[in-house]
Amino acid sequence: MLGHIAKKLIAMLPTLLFVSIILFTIISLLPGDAAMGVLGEGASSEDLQKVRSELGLDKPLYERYADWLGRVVQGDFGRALKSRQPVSEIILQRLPVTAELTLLSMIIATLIAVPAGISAALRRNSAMDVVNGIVSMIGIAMPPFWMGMLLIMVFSVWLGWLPSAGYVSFFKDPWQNLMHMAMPAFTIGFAFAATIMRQTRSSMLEVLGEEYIVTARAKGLKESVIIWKHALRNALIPVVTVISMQMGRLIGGAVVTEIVFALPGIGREMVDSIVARDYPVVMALILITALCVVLTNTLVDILYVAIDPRISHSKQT
Amino acid sequence: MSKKKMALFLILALISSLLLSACGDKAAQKPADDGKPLSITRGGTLNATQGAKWSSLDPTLSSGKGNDKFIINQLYEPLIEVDASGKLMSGLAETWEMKDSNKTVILKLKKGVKFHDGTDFNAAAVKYVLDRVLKPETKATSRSDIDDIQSVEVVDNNTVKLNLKNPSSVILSALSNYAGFMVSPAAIEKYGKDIVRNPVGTGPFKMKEAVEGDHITLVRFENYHIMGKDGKALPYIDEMIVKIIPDDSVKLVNLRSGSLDLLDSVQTMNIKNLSQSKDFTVVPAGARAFKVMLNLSIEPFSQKEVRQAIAYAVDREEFVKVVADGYGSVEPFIAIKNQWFYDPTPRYTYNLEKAKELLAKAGYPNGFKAKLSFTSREPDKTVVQLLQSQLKRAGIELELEAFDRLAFNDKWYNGKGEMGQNFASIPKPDPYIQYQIYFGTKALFNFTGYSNKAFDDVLLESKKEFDIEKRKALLKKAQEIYVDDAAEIFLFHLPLYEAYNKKLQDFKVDPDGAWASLRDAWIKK
Repeated sequence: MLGHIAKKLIAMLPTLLFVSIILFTIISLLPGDAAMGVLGEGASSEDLQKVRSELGLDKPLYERYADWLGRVVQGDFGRALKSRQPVSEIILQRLPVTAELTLLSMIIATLIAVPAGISAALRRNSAMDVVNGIVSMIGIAMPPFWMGMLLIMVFSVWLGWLPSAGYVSFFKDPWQNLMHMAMPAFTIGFAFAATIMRQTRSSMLEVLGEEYIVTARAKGLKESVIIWKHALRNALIPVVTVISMQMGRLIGGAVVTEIVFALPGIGREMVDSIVARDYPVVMALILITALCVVLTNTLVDILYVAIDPRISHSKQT
Repeated sequence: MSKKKMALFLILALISSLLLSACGDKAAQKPADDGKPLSITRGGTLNATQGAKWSSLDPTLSSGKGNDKFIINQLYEPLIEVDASGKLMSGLAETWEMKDSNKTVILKLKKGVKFHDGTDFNAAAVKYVLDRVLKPETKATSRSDIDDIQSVEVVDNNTVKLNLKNPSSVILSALSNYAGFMVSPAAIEKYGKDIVRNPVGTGPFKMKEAVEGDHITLVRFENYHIMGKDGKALPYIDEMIVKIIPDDSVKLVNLRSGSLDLLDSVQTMNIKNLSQSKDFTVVPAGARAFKVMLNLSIEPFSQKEVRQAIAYAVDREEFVKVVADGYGSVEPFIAIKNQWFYDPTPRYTYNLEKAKELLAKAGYPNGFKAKLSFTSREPDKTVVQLLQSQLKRAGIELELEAFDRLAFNDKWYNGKGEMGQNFASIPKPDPYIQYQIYFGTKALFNFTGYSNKAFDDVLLESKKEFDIEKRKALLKKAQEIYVDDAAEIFLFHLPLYEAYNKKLQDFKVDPDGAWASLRDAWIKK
């Protein structure tokens, strides 16, 4: 098992390297001058030129990439071009917010989606199934931006129950932290739940029609044992796959949600840095995001084994 | 009328007049909307928001212009202050005097002022800061505002002498802006380039913490040098948190929910609704002069007739109705109505026949095709679409090209634009600066390549002139020359607004449209 994890982790490196090359090239090809991002509109052309050479922007692309990579390998992500804040500090400030948001959204989504999916599958074509279908369609169709605004209108403006913006660290005040994260996490979680619910439902329906379930029923096993032990476990594999595949989408949703709820996560910082062509920050944040996606996929591979031990046997043979 | 009736009438008249006057007194005692009759309370936290993140917390190195000023006004103070109408007032310099035929400025500094780091503000600090702005290596964008200064001399601990290259009526206003904000020399030495994130000024608030791009927390500076109405040091407010919220709808919903007390901007479509509310106040804060830039180095825009034809083909009233929701105004140039040098004389009014005539004269009887670049944001997108439909009537076919801000600037800085939609942020500290940076030969924001010696000369003359009426006449002349040359076509002015919760008292806006120093502001309990 450990060998398997180690292999997976080593396989991540070429992926990350590839992502960084593509990313560096794209950022450099973008029209717009990073020196102007630093000096601002109204800077003289002489000053712009000076800043370009100070930042090494006048060097060829491969040389700049090599410089950057050389430093990153040593753990130095550099500093933000304008604010001069160390990039590692930005990551430390922002990553926990997005990580918490993503995790909470995933928990909310799973808590809503899996029971709803199972009950819809068990009562196929019932009123419950139809309602589930409609709610999940709304979840998929409703943009997170609008959903967030609706939640703020109801829970902050009308009812005054939840704060509408800002962030409090979990370690500073756990209760306030959860109050601040409730609406953003639900905004993403709801959209995410719709997809998982549909997958759980169809996957359960497929499994419930399998012969071993008929056999289990013929043996006189309790319905709850059949559903939770025999059916769900087998139905979960495609569900877990969908959850992991949605990781990228989840981070995309986080960008918008962080803007609506004014959360200091990496999504917002990424947008700001792209607009300012602050390439050390953009490179670091996107690489971290890529790393999260790759790590999630690795984690899911390991989860497969936990859910269905046959997978690891089949890999060993 | 019997005596009895007469007496009764008089008594009734007396009672009713007493009642009326009592009612009147009651009305006078009622707190006015501006809160003046209320007694000032100290303390509290002000939750404010800005749309764009600050670029630098060092005024000398600031590039965000308007965006940075909201916070810089709280952390720092300029040598000379200026109110929203442009009147100069004492700042860190208590008095000033122009000498030697206006070629020398003597500044008498306020005594007993300390920087947030405990060091003294004095003449040596002024020299240090101004020299730093003027040094080309600093790359201060505000350098051009004060480049009339030849040298800065320390006369004594509280007196500074500025030797000018030429007489300048602009220098005092320029010292009220970015170039004149005083940064602690000790802090500059200590932090080096990192001064941009370690602000140390003399302002009423000092920085407690900042999360770049998310929020900044300012707390009252206990050794601030100005006393409040209660005899204790200002400011009244204990803490100020400025959050960065880019989206206007999000800002508004947070103002309504009570999470925010003060916004840096309100979209025009929300002004009416907010100003009718009993909880919020909406105040004007500067304006944007929307315009179309024409690249004078390429055909057909090198021909004056073509440029004037475009100016005649634009129906400006329609822009005010469609884009500005009725809040804008049609103005001939980039001066705002309440500025002292404003001249309302219109030069171009919508006249399609005249436009076609001029195009034919220039050799384009059937019009032409051109690319119009713009920054992809609102209301710019609406502006260019309306412009496209208007110019089509004159036979000018526009292809719209959307860019993000830096890409747009890149295109125009490198002279690659054909037509471009943009706006000028107004007002500026002085009319000379306001006109020069946009239209002067090779000026910072002169993207069209416009260069007319007559215009430059008149403008320069206005800078050396100290008589207000004469200056006014010179500025009018400059306006006439530029508008006739039509290197840029002026569409309309869109006033900007800020909004705040009425519990915030004595709030003021500075001439740039940023929050003025909040030292006198207080929160009603």
